Amino acid sequence: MITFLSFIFTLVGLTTAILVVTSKVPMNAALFLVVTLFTVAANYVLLGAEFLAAVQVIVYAGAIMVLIIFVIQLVGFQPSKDGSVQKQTPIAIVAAGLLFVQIAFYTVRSLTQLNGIQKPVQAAVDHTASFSQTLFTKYLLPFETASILLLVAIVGTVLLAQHKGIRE
Amino acid sequence: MVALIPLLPALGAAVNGLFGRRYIKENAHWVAVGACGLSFLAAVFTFTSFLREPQSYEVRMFEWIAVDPLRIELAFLVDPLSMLMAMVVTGVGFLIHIYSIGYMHGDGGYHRYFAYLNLFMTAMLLLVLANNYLLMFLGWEGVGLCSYLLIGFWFHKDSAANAAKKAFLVNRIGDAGFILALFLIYGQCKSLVFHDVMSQAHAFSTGLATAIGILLFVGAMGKSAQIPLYVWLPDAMEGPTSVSALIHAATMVTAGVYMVARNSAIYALAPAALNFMASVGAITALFAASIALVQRDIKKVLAYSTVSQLGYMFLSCGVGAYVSGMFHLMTHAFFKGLLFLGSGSVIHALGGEQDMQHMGGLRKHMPITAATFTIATLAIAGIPPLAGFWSKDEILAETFKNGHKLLWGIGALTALMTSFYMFRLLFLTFYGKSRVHHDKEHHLHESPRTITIPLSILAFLSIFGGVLPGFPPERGWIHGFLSPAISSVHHAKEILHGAAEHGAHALSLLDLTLMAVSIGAALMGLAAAWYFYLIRPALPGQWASRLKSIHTLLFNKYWVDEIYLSVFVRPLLKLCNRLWDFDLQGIDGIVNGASRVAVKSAEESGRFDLKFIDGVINDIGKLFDKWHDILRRWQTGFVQNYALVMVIGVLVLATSMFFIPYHF
Amino acid sequence: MNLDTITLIFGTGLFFIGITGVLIRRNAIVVLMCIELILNGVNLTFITFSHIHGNLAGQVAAIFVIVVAAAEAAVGLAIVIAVFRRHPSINIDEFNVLKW
Repeated sequence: MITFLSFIFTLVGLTTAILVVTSKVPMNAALFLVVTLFTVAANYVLLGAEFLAAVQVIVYAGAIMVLIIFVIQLVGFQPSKDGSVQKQTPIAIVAAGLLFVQIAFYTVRSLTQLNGIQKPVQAAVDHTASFSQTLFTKYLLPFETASILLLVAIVGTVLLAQHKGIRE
Repeated sequence: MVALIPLLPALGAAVNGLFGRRYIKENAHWVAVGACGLSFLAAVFTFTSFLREPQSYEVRMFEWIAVDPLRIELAFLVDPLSMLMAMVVTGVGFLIHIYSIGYMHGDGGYHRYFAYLNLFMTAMLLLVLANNYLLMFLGWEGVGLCSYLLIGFWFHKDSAANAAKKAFLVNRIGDAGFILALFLIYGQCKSLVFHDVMSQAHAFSTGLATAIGILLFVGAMGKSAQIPLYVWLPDAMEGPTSVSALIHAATMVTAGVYMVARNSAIYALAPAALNFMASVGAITALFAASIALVQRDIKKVLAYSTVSQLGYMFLSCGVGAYVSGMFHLMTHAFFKGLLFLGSGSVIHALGGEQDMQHMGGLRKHMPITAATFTIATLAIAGIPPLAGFWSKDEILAETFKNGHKLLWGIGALTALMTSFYMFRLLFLTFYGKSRVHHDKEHHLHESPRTITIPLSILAFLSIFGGVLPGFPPERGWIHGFLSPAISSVHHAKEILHGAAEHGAHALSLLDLTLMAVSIGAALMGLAAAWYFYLIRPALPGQWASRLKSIHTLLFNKYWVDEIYLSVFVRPLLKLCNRLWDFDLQGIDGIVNGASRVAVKSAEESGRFDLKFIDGVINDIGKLFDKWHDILRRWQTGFVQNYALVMVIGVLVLATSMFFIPYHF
Repeated sequence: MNLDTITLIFGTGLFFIGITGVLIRRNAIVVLMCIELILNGVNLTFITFSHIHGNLAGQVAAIFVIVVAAAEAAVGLAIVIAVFRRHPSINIDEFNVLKW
């Protein structure tokens, strides 16, 4: 049942992800991206990462997407002409495809190696509690550092987006 | 209860700091003095309950830093050492707070002053009550900061701002030593709690203990103004006199002594560090006393005197007599605080005059100040039965008995000099003929009651603060009280032999002889000062001209400041300026497209540019001209081209993994 | 085909689609969205392996990735706005100032 659900989500997610890349109108791309993010969140739940699913929905599907849609509306529709970048499309797809094949290869190999190993038994624990336990003890310093990173990002964003911008 | 001791001044500082300027203004002293008084009461309460049940304990507040495996708690240690210090700090601090009401009256930064003063109390109490090194270091840095703020209290005066800067920077040098010592301790013990470290200290190798001991002492050198890091303390007299009394005489500068006594277990394993400390202490004592002989500024004399007395304390710790050092710390807090407060009273009455050549005969105008000042002078000079005698004599006796005969000689000579310059100060200021400017003479008045009451209390303590806890020498109440907190080789020896050997009979012949020597030294100093400055007032001038070279050397404080300036400060400044120039140009280059720099350099070296550099660049340019057609196709400037190259790079790397054996 | 395999395929696929999008799309905002796709693919892989190994380190890494992604999106969009204000277009292929 879980496998089936996951399969459905993956199918929907990959389809909408492709639509993000192919749709001509940025707003459509943004809306497809929201769907993709939700399917990813659903897979998080299936994998036992409820807290991250919530974060995914709130931060990604909520905050970041609102920001992106806001900017799309601010900038408006941009008609695109053929440019030099278009020239690299075939080679880009080939390169990315090769990368995909390689990653898939390594993943499959590691999975087959892992099949021999007994998976640690997941007791019926409170995932969120144990997750926060880990985050706030073992990874406290990275956590604090991340907060500083966010602060820097805030300051940088304000500086970049203020009306005068950075003049040369 | 223990937590209240540092917490109350912190609250006072916060209230005055946040609301002082708008709302409290001239009433700031109610908050500050109230907070400090309550803190003193809390300390008294803790102290008395500790006396009833003399068992060390820790009070844990909360976990301050928890980054595995480093765990630091905000916790206080109540033991004889910390209690004694807390009593001295809150007691003397409270008196000086009261004194400040009168002394700082009408100053524009009244509330600011009290906020800083309370903050200082908080930091100092954290320092003495901490149960681990890091919290102690927090207090240590906190008192440094407050010292900086208060020295530079009148920051519009250049000299004050510079003195503050100097104090801060010189202290940093010492702090570096302290921090390194903390690293070593943590590396060895995996803990910074005093209790854990002390219980593991016996496992230290001699080398490690010596390294830690010397590094800690370097920290103490900075804070407690020992050679070579003493230079900041005389300059620190730029601050208000009450600050000099509290921070630069009674409490902060003694933090180093406290810290050394606290680490007695480590020092017990490092005789080399102890000898080093004793030597530095003795030399500092002599050196500073010799400078104090000829200074004319009343506060400068007291400052060098403080440096000299701190030298005594380190000498004492260095010969293993920690209790005597702590005892001297306590009595010194009383009489040196009193001396500073008295000098503040004089300066206040004279409207800011600090030169002793323009004083004299003040006894008639300010009887209370003169009387208390005389008591303090007798105390510091070591005339029995006042406080200073007991502690100083004990230090000298311990030094002699522990086999440091040379250091004892230096100490005795210093005692003579101390007595001389202190009585010189006393006679020049309060006795003899008046040399006060006429326009100031009719302003002369005794200070208000907020000043005289603390003076009287401190005078009382200067009389009895030595004999009550310290009699009989080496077996007084204070020795029994402090010895559980001190572990030293000598102490262990004393426990073995002490009870049987000294228990019953009072004083040996050696003790009496040593005592007679120190009394003799004090009296000689007194007599000499009497003869020079009261009977034959012309004599000092003649002697000064006869021994001109020595007098100039001393008067200019051995030119240590000038030497430091030319050896350390100027080269450093030069380097900094150069780096700063580089910075400026670098940033300009990025921000302004280097245009301004280019213009400037073009003006200076235009011809050189044209003929030589241009020629070279043109030649190189021609060389690259052939290549650029090929290479520039790569530099399209489009981000996505670069991204594609990146992806291909990853691809190549990943492919190479096929051929390289790997291990998950 | 178990759960882990499917989500790994999902993650890898998102990574591939995202990289392709970054390389071929001209609209700067869409490029930013594709970067989010890449990061999501990575996150999904992290969490899958966290699930496989029964080790929470993967989830912790994922949350840091989300933090970085949030910062990146904010700064990236601010740059887009700053660029747009100067030059009323957000097509990447019209900007080749990196050449200079």
